[in-house]
Amino acid sequence: MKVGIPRALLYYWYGPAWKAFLSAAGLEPVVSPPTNKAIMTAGLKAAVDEICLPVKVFIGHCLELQKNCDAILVPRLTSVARKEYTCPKFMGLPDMVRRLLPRTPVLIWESAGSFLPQRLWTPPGPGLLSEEESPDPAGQAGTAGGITNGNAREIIPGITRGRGRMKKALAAAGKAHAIYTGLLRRGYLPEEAMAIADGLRGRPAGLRQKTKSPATGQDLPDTGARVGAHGEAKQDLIGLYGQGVKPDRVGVQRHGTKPGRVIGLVGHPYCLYDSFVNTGILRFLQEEGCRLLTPEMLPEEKINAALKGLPKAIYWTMGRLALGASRLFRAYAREQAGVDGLIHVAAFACGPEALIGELIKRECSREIPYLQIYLDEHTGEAGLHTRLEAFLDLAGGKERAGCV
Amino acid sequence: MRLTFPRMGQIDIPVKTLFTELGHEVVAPPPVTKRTFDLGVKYAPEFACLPFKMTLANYIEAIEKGAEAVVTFGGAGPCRFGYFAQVQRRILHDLGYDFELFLLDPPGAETRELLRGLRFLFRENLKAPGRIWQAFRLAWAKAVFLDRANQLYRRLLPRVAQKKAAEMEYRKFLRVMAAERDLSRLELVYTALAHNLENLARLETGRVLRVKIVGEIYMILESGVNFDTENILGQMGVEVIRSVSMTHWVEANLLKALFPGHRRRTGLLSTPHLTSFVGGHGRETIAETVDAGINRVDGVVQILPFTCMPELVAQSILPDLSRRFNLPVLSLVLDEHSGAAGVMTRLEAFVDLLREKREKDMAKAGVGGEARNPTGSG
Repeated sequence: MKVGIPRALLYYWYGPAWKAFLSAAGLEPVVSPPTNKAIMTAGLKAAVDEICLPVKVFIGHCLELQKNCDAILVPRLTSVARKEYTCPKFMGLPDMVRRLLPRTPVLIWESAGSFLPQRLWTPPGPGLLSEEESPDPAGQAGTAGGITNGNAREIIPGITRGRGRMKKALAAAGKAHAIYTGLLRRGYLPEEAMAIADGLRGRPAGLRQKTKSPATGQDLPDTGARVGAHGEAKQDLIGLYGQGVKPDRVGVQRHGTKPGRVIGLVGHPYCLYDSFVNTGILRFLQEEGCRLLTPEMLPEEKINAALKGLPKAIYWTMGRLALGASRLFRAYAREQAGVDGLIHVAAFACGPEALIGELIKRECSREIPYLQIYLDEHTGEAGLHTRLEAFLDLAGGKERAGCV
Repeated sequence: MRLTFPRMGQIDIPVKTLFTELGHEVVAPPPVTKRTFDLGVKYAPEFACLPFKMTLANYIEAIEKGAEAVVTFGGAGPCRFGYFAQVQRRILHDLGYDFELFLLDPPGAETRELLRGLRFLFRENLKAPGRIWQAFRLAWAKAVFLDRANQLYRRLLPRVAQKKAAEMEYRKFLRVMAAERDLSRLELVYTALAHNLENLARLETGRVLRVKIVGEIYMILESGVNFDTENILGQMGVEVIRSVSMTHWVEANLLKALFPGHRRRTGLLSTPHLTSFVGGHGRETIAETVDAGINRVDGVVQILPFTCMPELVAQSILPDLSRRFNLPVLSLVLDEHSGAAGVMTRLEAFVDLLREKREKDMAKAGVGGEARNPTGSG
């Protein structure tokens, strides 16, 4: 049975975990293709006008998946850390999506406090739209006969009855997540990290063995698993880079031959890593010879330490990471540790970013070359890349003049 | 130390009373004007919601008038309201305004900050808890009577021929209410208003259209930013009902433990359509629209500020409710670029639609159409 995973929103954090979970539960995970024009247009049509682009894109992915999936996994990540929230829109996501999918049941991955689900269920009743009003009438092709909009028991046979199977699936999700975040922390971008993690699957025994030997720090699968154990990363990424231990792992440099500038990027993962939504900012910067640092590459303890002294803790996880990472990048720039500029990528009309972005702007704009990019469905590649080129000139110029 | 606070509808009357009775000097922010908009838009982040911009401007205008401290509420998310004060403090600090911020966060979020704020508010009366109690009682009674009067005014305005006279009565009531310090006289003030308004009302008026207003609380209550939507509708002969009010907010948020019914009602009504809370008033919007549908209200107007996250979730779901209950819904997304004429036109068109729909419904129901909702007639 095929369960779709939309390649949007927090897929860039939890995609591998979702995939591993569904596989271990005996289902076939199907990830939607990378965002393209058709997906985005479908989302734009179906969603409310004023909502942010990433949510529209998510809806587009769901509409795409309903063509060939028996169910769609829709996360309701109320919070992924204690006393924090993700975003109000994420909480309403299943309810916004299910009304647009009249025939495909949604499997709600409901979590609060940690990304692992507290509850996995399907809301009863069909979507409220009638058949002829469905935004995609062709979408009925793959609906399997045996599935009704009942509850989770019908979606995942045996998962609610057999506790052991659920446990196994959750363990698999946790492990996949640990490996994936470990790779991100080593400086891989999500796309690469997922490819590597996929390659690792199939030889879990060897991986487990290697994890136990502390000496083989150079070996990639080993470090992936070791570092990934949630905040086990003792070595600072920038430190590694500064000592020249593993420069190729800090950011990824494909085309540039000169050492290149290091650009810190902050923003929500779906703005940074969805290369269609952000018109390929990351690739463009890499091709310009830049090394990239993102919040996901920084150890979380460091980010939290950088936020000490805030009068009130930020209660949006992604906002906290963005502000903390921007402060770290700024500190690295001050210490000549090699961050030449900071780019803040946010979605137009994003609620939390409106406030957090203001704080970042006020803190950073006088200390480090800083660029704020707002993405919406009208964002054009040429305009954005011109701005980036100008920004890179500024970042490089400052470096030459020794201002930073 | 002269205190100020953010403005929202008539909240300045009870809040000013409370602070004055507690022995503080109060500088209330002036009503929303063009300048308030200009200040807010100039200094606030572009995508912040209108409440953020307007409260920021409130502080600036109050500080210019001599306020030295700001008292405001916080929150623990996920709505942006809980983080307003932090960003506003930073912005005002960068602008060079000097003031002290007292943040009344809900217990559990920043308890230390809450205690500091309370200690400051009560510092004149720490030895006399009786006076604190008196102050709260007076302020709460005023809030209750203000809400009651507002409800009465909304119900009677469409049934009054001399709308100007009714408005004058209401304004007079607000003035008297603001100045009154005697708890026992509040009821008299209210009864006088009720008496005068009822005298103006023509009871022979037939069944008037009823429209429910739902949405974000600041945008609903602050007539300066919603172009006085309620009044416009009332002048058009439409009765406006709403459950969002300042006493409701206090009961549902600050006195949650004493009034569990609000949350239960919201949860029960909204769950089939929105299965989790989404912060702000998102879930209330869904619940109250369902309530409007069940009770055969003629239409629903949702008022929300541009970029409001919880209301956008609600707005995404409202079309289903509209279809299900055969209930026209108008979503007014307002920001600093909205114009009075545009809002007016949309409201007029909406009311026309409601009138026509009711006539059609009545024709369909035959002669008995009038009796469809007997309690609704004035």
